[in-house]
Amino acid sequence: MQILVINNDGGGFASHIDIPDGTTVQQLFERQVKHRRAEDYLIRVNRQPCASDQVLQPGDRISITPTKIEGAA
Amino acid sequence: MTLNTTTLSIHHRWRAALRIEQHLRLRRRQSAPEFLADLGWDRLLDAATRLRHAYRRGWMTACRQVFPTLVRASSLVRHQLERYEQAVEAFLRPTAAVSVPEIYADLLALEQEFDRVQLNLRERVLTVETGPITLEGYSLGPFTIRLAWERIGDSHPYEIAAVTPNPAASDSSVVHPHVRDRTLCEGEGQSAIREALLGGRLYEFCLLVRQILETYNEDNAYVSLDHWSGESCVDCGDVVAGNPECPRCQSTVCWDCASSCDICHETCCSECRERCPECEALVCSGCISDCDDCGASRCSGCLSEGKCAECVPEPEPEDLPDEVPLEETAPSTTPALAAHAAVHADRVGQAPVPA
Repeated sequence: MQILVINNDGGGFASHIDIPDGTTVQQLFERQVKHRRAEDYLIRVNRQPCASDQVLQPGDRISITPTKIEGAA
Repeated sequence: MTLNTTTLSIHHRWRAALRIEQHLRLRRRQSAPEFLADLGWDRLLDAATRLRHAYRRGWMTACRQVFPTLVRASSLVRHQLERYEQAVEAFLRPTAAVSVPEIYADLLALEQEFDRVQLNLRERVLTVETGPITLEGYSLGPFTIRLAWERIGDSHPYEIAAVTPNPAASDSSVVHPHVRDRTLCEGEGQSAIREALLGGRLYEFCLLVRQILETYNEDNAYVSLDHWSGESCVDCGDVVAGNPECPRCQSTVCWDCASSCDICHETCCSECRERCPECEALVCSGCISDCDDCGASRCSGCLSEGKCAECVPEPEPEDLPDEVPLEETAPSTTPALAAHAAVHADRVGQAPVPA
């Protein structure tokens, strides 16, 4: 099935990707953001907070945003 | 007309979404990604130079102190390079325009995510208000993110304002370590913010800005929190915190400018100490005073009973007789010479010489 992923930990690009049916939010996160902890991110499915074991549906919109983003001067 | 969260209706959100989509459609253009203006390379080089400098001198404690800065700087450079690669990839990849329903959904979600959302259709401005932000114990209060959607695609299409300003003591235009003159220095979030705005993803845009406001980067701030609420040193003007107060004038003076009196060893500022013209000691105003006679300034070490060396009277000569009889002064009668005669007789070796 196809979903939209917005990875704000990278360049903030939105990409449609194909994932297996039954993929959970946690599984998608581990695939998109390697070697990081989910609790360090705001993960939204269709702009709503979600559980890590929530099963994704076709057409879902998932955004992954770091909780800590360093500004500068 | 400005509408806040309590009065936003489906109609108003839809009208705003239409206008935003229209603007984005008109402004949507493919532009080549610029090479990152601030790769962070200078900071990395600076940290590496300091590490090398300390290592060559065997300053291992200094090396350990610099190392975390080096790690952060190299991580930033690596991050920026990765984002540049992604920006180039996105440039080469065709992007879909955002739809009105998507923008509408973003506006609806913003009302759930943020404390207050305002839409000004006349000025074409979207304003959201964050919750109170506290960084390392400093309460900075809530901030507003004010996006002029017709300026999406320009530099600085949005501005940040403090709802209850608690600016830095040294610069009132800095209301947040990474905000000056209402402009957020986006740092690590620059690329993602740009993509969110150009893609019409207002919800992600506001999330990104809020997370930057909630993060403190002590290595790269307009004013660090260590100096946020300090006072200016009366000598050099630097903003300092927890520094001594000059006991003479009660002004704040930094440790670099403070100096101790050579006589009483009290720490004071430069205005409250001066050099003694006599001995050139650097003394505080409590240890220098004027000569009672001539008024010349002297330190307490150079004053004797309130008078300087020039004004101290010469001691009176002691009482001595005017003349002493010659026989009394004959060498043989003086104890010293008598002792001398016992060792060496006077006129040794003399003999009468016939005429």
